[in-house]
Amino acid sequence: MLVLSRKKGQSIVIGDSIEITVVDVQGDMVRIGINAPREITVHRQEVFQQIKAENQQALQQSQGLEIKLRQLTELSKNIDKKDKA
Amino acid sequence: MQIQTKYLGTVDVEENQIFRFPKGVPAFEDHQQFVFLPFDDEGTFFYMQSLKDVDLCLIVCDPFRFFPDYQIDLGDQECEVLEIKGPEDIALLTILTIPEDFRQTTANLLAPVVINTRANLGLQFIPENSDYTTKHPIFPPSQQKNAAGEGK
Repeated sequence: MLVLSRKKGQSIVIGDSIEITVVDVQGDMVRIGINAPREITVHRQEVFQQIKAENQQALQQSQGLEIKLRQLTELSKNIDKKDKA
Repeated sequence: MQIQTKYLGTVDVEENQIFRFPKGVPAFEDHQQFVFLPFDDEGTFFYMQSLKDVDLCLIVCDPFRFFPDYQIDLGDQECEVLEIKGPEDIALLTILTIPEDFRQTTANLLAPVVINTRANLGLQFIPENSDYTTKHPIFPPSQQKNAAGEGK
């Protein structure tokens, strides 16, 4: 991994089109500004990992799924009844 | 055309039922074509079936069915990718995680599936900031317990 030291207000440039600026440093918190083309997606790494993990978990449910979905459908009808009551 | 599905066997779908996800979905980035097939006539739950792999099938539903106050702020970037021209183009779906005890089913409100029903495009939205998590129980705790008593 390339490691660079930057001060507040200084930037690094990646390729022709991505610019990353250190906006502020407070204790162990660094605020970072990113200028990148729209087709480049930027996410907080832990959020992206969490969503990945949830998708993988959501896939692991084939056992008796149809029965569960039938029960879920019934249970969600009860919600409607309660709403109307 | 005929497609293979995980839960419904071979199914006939029209071209205009196929949604293109240019970036796939996180963890399954190389899956770029999905169809949404209703579980039953109630139309509460849908299979989100990948055309590339019969085993990749997620369960989704309309988030407003269980979370009427649900809101997201879609960014310009997403609207551009989805070629959204107006709010009428957009439909939201939430991916469900259904555990052993189905009453504990949770919805991923943090990262909903957003589709453009006019252009047949879709993506899983990853917000920059959100108060939602990947695990919101779709039934309130009281219902999770009482559910066993049928007809109550």
